[in-house]
Amino acid sequence: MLTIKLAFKNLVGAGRRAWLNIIVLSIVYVMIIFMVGMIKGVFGRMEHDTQVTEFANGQFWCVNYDPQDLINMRDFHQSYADVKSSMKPDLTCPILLTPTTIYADGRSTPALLKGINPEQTVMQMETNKLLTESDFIPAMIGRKMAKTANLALGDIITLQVRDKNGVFDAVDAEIVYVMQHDIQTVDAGQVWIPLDRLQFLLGLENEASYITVSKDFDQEIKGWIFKDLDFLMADIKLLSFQKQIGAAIMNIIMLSLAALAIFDTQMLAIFRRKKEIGTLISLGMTQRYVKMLFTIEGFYYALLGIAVGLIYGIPILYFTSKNGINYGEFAEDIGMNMGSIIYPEFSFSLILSSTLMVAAIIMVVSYLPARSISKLNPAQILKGK
Amino acid sequence: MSKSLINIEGLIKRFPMGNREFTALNGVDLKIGQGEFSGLVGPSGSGKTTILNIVGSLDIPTEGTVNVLGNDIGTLTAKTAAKLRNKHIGFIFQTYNLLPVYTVYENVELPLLLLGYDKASREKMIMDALEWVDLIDKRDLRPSTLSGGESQRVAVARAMVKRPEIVLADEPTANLDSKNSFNILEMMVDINKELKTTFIFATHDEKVMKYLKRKISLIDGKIAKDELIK
Repeated sequence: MLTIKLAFKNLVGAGRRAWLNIIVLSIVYVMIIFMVGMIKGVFGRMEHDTQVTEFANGQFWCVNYDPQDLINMRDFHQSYADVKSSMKPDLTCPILLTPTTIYADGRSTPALLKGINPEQTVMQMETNKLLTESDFIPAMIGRKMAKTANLALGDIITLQVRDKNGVFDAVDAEIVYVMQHDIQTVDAGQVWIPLDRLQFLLGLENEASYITVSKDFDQEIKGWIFKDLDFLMADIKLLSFQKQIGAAIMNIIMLSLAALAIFDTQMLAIFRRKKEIGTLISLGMTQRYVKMLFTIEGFYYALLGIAVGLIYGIPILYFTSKNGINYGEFAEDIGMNMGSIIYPEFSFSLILSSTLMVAAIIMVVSYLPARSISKLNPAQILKGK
Repeated sequence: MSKSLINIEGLIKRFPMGNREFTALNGVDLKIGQGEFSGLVGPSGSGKTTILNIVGSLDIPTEGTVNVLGNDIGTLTAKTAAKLRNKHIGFIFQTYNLLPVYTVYENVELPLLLLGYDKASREKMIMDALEWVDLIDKRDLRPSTLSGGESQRVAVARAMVKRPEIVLADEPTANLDSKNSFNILEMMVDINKELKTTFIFATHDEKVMKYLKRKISLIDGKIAKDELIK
């Protein structure tokens, strides 16, 4: 009890120096929560959006499908005629893909042409827009594709394709819709047209490269290889994990800087207050008490730093989690399925774990300089040596 | 001679000094009884403060024995040494050593807090001590607002508040002018008479020497002369 009182008095007596430390600590504390919350927000949303937009509940791949193999892409197709009768647009979504070259306004742009059933509801893509009446093949592209290929709604483009026999053909398509979502893996470098039109162009009737299925589809498709969400989302999860590790390292660096400031303050205080410590020992205080005194002082720093951080941090965190942070066009350039507006996620467990971590580290760095005192001779301390 | 509170036999104290050792005390034998008003006098480096530190259990002998109130200083643990200081010994320093963030009242209160007195007892004892040193009206002030004489009076009150058997005063008047030195010493003499507290000074101040009842002269870590003064 005595040390608690004395430590508080020492803290109050330290005045501006103490408040400077408390403010630095509070900033670090809020920054740690903010950074972790941002990463959780970015990847939480990325995982969710990628799943509902691209992967649904998993995919059946044709036997030779390899999304990384761009050279042999035109060979990735397989018939689903055997199961076609049981395939419903709310349960399955066959997708056929082939390389293409887009010609528009005298420019040619390589792209990936994907055929999809416009009536599908398995993936949250606005494929019903492909039902728009047009004199040309209706096509839709993503926001990023529109930007990079300099295309806009209503543009007529020529698509060059090569059918199963190796014969080249060219057809005109009209951009009937530009998707506004943030999932770049169904956007960048891709053009979507109705599946039957692409199958016809390639001479691959009832064939697809992969079939995306909803959660209500629980059958096997003979001759196709099922890839579950764990497999399909592995890259994103790995990226998320790597970013969290990166954030953890940043947090450790920031916390180390704050801890260093406190350590430095406590170390300086020990040197500056050697005579005071010697006096306390001469009055009958044990070295153990002195160690406790400085450790409790550190605890007060942590407590006040956290309290101050919460006072101004809670409104900031609440505001950002509700309104998000707009990264604008910068988000598109990152190359991840990241929305331009990021909504950080601040959970109670995040705040609690950050609080405990900050408090523990600050107490340790307060204890360490105090421990060095216990090794000194009281007479030497009194002399200020 | 009165009952012996401090018994020093063959005290040697050496300090490491680089690769060598410096001998601060070289075979000191000394007995100090209850209620004595004695002083260790001598030039700087003669070993005065070293004796005070060892008697005050802030340091330990290299050789020899130092017995204070039945406690062998050389064998005390840090905890028991702290207990001895806390209960039985008061310190007065040349530079007052008041804690700057505490008020006069709180500075005097510290030893009592360490001893675990309740609030009412503490208040009575503190007010008594502040009355001895005539500082009741300054009880709420911080040390930085006090003069040197007032600061040393607070230090005396802090040393005396727990009514210790022994007070060790290391150059208590060195930073004070004649008038304040006189006041402090008169006050100590009164306390010594009233409470039978043993005072041991380390000093080379002539003003202090005039008040001493026993003068122990040290030269090069040895007692050169030990004289009772009428």
